[in-house]
Amino acid sequence: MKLTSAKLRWSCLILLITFTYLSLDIGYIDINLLTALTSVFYGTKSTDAVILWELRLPRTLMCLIVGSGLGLAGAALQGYLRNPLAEPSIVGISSAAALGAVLCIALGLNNSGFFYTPAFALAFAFVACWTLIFLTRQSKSKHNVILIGVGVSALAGSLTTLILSLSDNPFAINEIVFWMLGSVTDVSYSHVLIAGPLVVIGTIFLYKHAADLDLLTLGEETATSTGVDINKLRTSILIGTTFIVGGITAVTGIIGFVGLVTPHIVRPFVNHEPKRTMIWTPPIAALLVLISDIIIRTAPTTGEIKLGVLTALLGTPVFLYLISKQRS
Amino acid sequence: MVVENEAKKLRFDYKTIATLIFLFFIQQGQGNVAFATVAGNGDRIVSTNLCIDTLAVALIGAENLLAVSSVADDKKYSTIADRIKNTKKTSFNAEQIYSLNPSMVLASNFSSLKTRRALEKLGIKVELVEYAQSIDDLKRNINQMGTLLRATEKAKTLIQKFEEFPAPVGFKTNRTALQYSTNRYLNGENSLINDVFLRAGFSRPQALKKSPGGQFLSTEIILKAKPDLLLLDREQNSAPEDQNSAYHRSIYSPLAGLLTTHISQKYWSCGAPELIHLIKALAKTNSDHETKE
Amino acid sequence: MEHALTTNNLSVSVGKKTILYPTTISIEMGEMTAIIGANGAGKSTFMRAALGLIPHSGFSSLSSKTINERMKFASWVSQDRELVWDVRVKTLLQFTLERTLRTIDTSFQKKLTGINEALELTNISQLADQQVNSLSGGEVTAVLIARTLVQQTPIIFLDEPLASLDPIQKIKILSLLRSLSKSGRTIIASLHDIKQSAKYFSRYIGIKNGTVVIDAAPIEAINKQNFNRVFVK
Repeated sequence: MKLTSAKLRWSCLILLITFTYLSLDIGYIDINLLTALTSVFYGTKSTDAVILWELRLPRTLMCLIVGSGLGLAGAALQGYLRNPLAEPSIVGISSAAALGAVLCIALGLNNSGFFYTPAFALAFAFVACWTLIFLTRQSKSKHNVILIGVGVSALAGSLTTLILSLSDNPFAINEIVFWMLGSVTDVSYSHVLIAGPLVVIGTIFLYKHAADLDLLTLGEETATSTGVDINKLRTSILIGTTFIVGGITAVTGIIGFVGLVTPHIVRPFVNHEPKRTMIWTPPIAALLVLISDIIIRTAPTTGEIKLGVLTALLGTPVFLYLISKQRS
Repeated sequence: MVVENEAKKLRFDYKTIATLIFLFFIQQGQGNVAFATVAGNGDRIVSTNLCIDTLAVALIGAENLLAVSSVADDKKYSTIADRIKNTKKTSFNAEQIYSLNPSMVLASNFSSLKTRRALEKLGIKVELVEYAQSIDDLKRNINQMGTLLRATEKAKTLIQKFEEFPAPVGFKTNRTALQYSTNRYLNGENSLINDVFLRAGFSRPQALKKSPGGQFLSTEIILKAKPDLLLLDREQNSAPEDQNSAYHRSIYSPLAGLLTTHISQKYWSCGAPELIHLIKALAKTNSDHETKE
Repeated sequence: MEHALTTNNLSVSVGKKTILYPTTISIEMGEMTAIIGANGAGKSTFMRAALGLIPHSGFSSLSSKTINERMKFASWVSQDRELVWDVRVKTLLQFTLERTLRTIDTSFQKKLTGINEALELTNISQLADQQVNSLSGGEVTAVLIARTLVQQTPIIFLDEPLASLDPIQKIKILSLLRSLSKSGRTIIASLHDIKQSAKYFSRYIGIKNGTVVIDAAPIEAINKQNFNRVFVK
């Protein structure tokens, strides 16, 4: 049963619409969606309307951006590296973005202006990207990308831990740790306007080479003989991933597992084709993030579960199950 | 075909999960049943940080607060848990706070920037009360909050109490004290607990003068510093003299010769008027010691 | 195009080590040529360099073309059978067909005809809907050859196409290659097994330690003296 069948396509769309609606309707407190919508038209002031438009809508948009972006990046990386375990963090870009943001918070610059943290995160993400492109430009093997990515990731991770241990301010530590767990709470349209365009730019870079990923199925040699420029492909994939992951991490912190797990969920429905996986992973991943965030908002806990934690909690069992199935 | 069965199975699980989640949140209740109360003068005050809650309750009483932070309910960390039993609790997020329709929100300078900005965009005034790192900071905070909460007289009374134990000028004492947490954290010279020690007549051991900041230190260094008094964390429901198993045994060894006392952190981590009792108690051990000599 | 492949002092070095010494060779259109030699002699290196898949010095008529131009002339059947995504056979061919249709002016009238025809020519029509990971070694080789047919190239390079095949599968592939050659395609394949393939190929180029030591018809090439020249140290 393929996802090109109209029935499944429609179910996907309906689910997405349903959960988007639920994301607007459900939150920490009850609001009346109808009142909220109508009061805008009638120009009357209402608490519900403000909550809907200023808080819930940006948050929902952010979930959609995070899900579709990370899902796409994961699908693209798995397609390019021909490795089902690939994830944006495997190439070190999310760790580098995290390092940038952590450094910014530790220096206290995040209080100076709104754009500092995203700027730092994005800058460091691109440093990692450039390192990857530079060190792998002559290499023939896809393994080099993974190996160097692991190295970049390890370096960024240890530098982050170093900053944490050198910081003598326990509250900065607190803020850093919370940031590293990922959250879309109280995002505003400014956040959406930072992450959104960056994700769009990254998406363009990635979709440009979607068909190349299909041809890559038979290995790099065969792909080259059918007209794929491997170097251009690698550069595009890395740059596209950096825009997406850098843009998202800059705003929400680290959110893991979405990019790893969703392509695996999608693949059986698209006959394992890399290009079609890239097309259908974003909406499914967006759905997963929406569901996770709705759970977060309604969970009766005093402290708030961070989004990155929940996606890992939901994603890990699915992931382990898929691995065990593969082995058998 | 194998792939189709797999796809069908996945679809079923997927829908089931979606349904279960749907049912799950539909059954969740929101918020708690405590009252949201308005201050006598009409102020609708929401406090979002435990330390600030403690000061607010001391200044105007729990019955005049619209809401306090959810941590205030936890006896492990809060000294006001009993007093705010009937006060509404809130987490620091814009939606919850906005729905309370407050006239003023009190937050710490370390609270989430995102949420503060979101609240300001919604037209809610957020007053920042900085975390107190000294008794002077605490007095400043009491003053600031006294003005904000329109309780200046009460504020003056509370501040007055600290005058009994002014900041020491120069080093007069020869007894040293340190505070050491179970997670190996030692508060620095510019910390509240250190100021408490100073005002109670203790000074900081010479060995630690070189590193004035707060940091994680091994037990060795604490033993080497040989403070005359070592303030340790107390486990809930244990007596003050009980040894805390989270610490290394050597701290309690007679060979180390340390005088240890256990106090729960909740009594001194926040700048609260109750701190005066701790200062008095510590000062008394000092004077007791002197009369013995 | 007169020659299928012309090389002039084509050589490959990695660091200080020379893997392929300057080689000048010319292969005609329609020829069925085998590159023979021991393991590590440089057969694959020669073919890869000729096709421009690896960096090299010297000239190769195919490698000097742009990537898009080259894919119209020559296609490649790789030795490594890594197939991570378990797609269907016809999907694999579909990928190449879509790419080919974008770069080539002449096209088949209906998309699927090209794929079906390729599967027929390689006698694997019954495998069209099977998952590639469920195929045997010989079947995969046939699929890869079918893929090159979909690429519509006059020249087909094959890197060790008979490796790890049993004798019957080997004959099947060799017969297939001969029929493709008869229909006008140029076949260039690297081989280990020279006896069985002798009657299929018209030319053997023997490489030893990176140098061409033999370039003759198979009958000549496999006499004892020449055999030693190519294979014995």
